[in-house]
Amino acid sequence: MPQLNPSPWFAIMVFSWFVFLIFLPPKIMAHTFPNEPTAQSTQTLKTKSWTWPWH
Amino acid sequence: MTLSFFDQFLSPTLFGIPLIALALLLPWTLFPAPSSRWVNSRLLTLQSWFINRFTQQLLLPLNMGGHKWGPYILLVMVFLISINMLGLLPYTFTPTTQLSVNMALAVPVWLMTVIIGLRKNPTAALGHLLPEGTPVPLIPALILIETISLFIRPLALGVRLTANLTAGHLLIQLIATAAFVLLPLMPTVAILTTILLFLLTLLEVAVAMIQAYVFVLLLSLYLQENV
Repeated sequence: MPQLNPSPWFAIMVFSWFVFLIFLPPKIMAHTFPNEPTAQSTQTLKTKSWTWPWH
Repeated sequence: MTLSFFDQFLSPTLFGIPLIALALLLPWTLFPAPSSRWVNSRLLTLQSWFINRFTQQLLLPLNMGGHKWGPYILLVMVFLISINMLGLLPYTFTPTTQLSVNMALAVPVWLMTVIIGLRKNPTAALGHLLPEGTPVPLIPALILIETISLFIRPLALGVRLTANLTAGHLLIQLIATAAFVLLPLMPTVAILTTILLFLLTLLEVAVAMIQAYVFVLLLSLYLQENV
């Protein structure tokens, strides 16, 4: 069975780790996940009058 | 005739270029670089969703010491799942059906977990070789068995992936050949065989994903023991 033949095992190992370490990390790590934006309330806030407490 | 079914696993070369290299190199063109905008393309959104959810699922049972290995385990998952899935396309070569590729991935990764364990907490790492509460007469035998099971792990990881994918590809080819041969002789049976082939292909898509997940899950369990 040819798939069990380990013949160029070192070349295959070096190449697959080369691909795994050089090409994948920049591609996958470039994904960023911004925080979900919080919806602003549609109601306008009712502000109470402010009395200056030190007067 | 018997050997020709295994010919699909022969690493092919074209113009002196081994196609296993191309099969390992080309899948990553399917991963476009995300832009800094809020909304990306559909493919990128799907990939981001997968990466986010998978990392969350993976890190849930892992303790804090193992979290810094999250990106690395995620990379193994993406690597295996892309190659497994693309290998199911007709006329493609699947590098993960090769034992050498899988062992090349499994052995260093297993060695990493063992070395981390021996460096960080050698007592606990060696303590895993003897389960608690073992009767005294069993201790020597059990230590021997646990040591063997520790050292057989990388072999099991690599062979599991190879055997599953090989079996799947072989079954697909066998049933497809049967359907093709039966078509002029017994059309009804051939149609039934084609339906079976379709169902089997669905199963193989599932197997391609599940085997990548199993590899990564076992890796995270080995890591969990040692961090």
